[in-house]
Amino acid sequence: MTVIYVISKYITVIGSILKGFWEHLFCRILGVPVSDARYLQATELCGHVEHDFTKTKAVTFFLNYLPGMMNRMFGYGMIIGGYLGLFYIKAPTSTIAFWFYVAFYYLGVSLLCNNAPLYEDALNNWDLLYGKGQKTNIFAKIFGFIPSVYFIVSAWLEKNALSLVFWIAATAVGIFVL
Amino acid sequence: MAEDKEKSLTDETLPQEPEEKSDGWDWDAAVPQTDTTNITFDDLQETELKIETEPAEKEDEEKTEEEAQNPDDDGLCIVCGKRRGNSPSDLYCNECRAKFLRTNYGIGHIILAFVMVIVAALGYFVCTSTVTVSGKLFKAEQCISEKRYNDALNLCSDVLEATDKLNSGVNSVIKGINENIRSLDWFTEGSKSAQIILETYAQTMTINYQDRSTFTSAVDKFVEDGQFELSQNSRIKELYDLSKSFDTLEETLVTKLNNYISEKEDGSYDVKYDEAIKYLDSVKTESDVQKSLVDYYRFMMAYYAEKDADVILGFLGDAYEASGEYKYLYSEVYLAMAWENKAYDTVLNVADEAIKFNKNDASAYYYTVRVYIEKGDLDTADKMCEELREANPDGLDYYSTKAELLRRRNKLEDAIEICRKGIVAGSDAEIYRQQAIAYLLLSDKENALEAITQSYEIAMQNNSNGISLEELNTVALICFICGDTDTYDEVVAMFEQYGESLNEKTQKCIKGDITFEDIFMKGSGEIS
Repeated sequence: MTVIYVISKYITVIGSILKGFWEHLFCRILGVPVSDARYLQATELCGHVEHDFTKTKAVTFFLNYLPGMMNRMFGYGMIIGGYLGLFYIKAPTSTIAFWFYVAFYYLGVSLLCNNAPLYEDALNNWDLLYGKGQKTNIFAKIFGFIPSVYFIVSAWLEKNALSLVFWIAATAVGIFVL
Repeated sequence: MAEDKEKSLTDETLPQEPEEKSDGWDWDAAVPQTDTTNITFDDLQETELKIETEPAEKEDEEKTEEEAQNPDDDGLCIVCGKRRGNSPSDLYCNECRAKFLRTNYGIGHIILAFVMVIVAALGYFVCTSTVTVSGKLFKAEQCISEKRYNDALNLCSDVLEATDKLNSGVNSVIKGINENIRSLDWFTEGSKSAQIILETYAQTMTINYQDRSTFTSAVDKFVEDGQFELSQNSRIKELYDLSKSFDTLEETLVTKLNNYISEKEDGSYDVKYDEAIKYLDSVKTESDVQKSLVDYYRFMMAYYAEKDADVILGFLGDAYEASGEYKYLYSEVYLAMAWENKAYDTVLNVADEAIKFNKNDASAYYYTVRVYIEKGDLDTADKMCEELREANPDGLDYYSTKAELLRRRNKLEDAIEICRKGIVAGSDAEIYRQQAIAYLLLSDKENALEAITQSYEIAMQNNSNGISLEELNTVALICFICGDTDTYDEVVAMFEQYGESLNEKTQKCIKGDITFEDIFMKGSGEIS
């Protein structure tokens, strides 16, 4: 499975590097030691950085949330513009706009395929918030629930390269259905 | 995650040499946190003795506690192998932890992040424009499915305008940087808009050569630009082929019919009607739709030969019926001719079919309203007038028609007010004409003259389709009544130039045989 994961990360190389960079940046901001800052490597750490295991709820939550949020924030505009331009407006291939849309669509997919935390980090966040014996504020539990589920689901999808499969399917719908 | 830490460490992140002790000195620990003024020398000696015996015991206690919590943890830093001591990390000693807290970013990664910030901003700009264009195209698609073709066409025009603005905006920014760079189409309205535009053209086309030519030229242009393929839409392809076959047939007909019609010096036509009809009877056509074009030319011959209304409308009716599913090609001309020849039932029938086909068909609503006004059924006329507005909220026909209705109901102030709204909405010659009539009926000559002058000026500016006789007669009459003899003489001269004269009602009113109220408040309520 790691091979498929690594392939998906190399296909979406821009997003992988950027996600690794955001993780690195937020680790430094949040005071989490980073021992391996290679963003691209042929392991399950591809697109991430190796950091110390976080113990506090807030740091863990924000370390899960913020790097992905940056990629999502950057990616939404590109993917919406690219998708509509290519598959709804149907820019002709002879125009410059078509190639812009292609570039934006690729970059958007690349960024959105790299918006999840590492699966272990997502589980750690869940454990700290909802694990047995954890004394978590009820408001934190309520407000953190949807993001925490999102972290786990998206991390699992990314771990199995399914986020890329999703976007390939969306592209096929754009080409053959819209 | 932590198991293969040692394997994955880079040279950059691995600690090279143990650092000097001064670097690792805990200054916070060295600064006394409590008051030391009352500590005696005996106290210090006692404490020194304690320190000599306690450290080993304390370390052992800590180690036992840690081991009890995590039996796999040996308490050593996984990088340098030294005891972690009071390090907050589960993996690294304080020195290694401090180093990992400052792990450097690659310069390339920082550049990439900056570039991506710019690209993301561009992405949002493109996204905003694309969403705007897509939104309008989506609405246009909905309009087509609801048979509101004019609305769809208006939305497509908005799309084209928005794209042009975007392109010129981007090009002007680029030109600001470097004047030598040529202008490019950075944005496109895409194949989707091409398809919607062609669909609306196809459904709003008339038999008029200009309309057909606009449609076929648009198809050719979009195909050439790679924005449309004829195989994409069978309906458009069918109509394109039909239009082309009309062009060919029309060319043959016109060439031959020119032998039977000639223009006289006074502007009227000399038509060899029987011979022309005989020729048209001999023309063989491949389909009923093509036959409709021949019938249309029969109508043209009858019209130029000034035949009876029955004959003229008969040929046009034949063309309308023969065209089958393409009836809408003839509906506009059929409505106009039926109205002109006072065939009001035909007007209502054709308008009803036209509205069913295109809910935005303003001319169909317009003629329906006029017919009901003519019949004196002002309530139905008012209802249809409101439907006209609903179907064409941006159209100006509503204001003038509504003003006419209000005038007929003797609500002259309201008529003036609705004209005022129409002038704000866009204004055309007819709105000003209606306002002038209402003013004069209220004996406000000054405003009436001002309004009719505006109407005349607008009509003269937009006279590519000719000025209506109603307009010219009204201008002449109001100018005469209000004492603007110059404009009156100008209009009379214009009539004389074409061998015509002011109509009977106008002449009678000028002579004083009938009043202005008799023309506009009684009978048909119109000057024609």
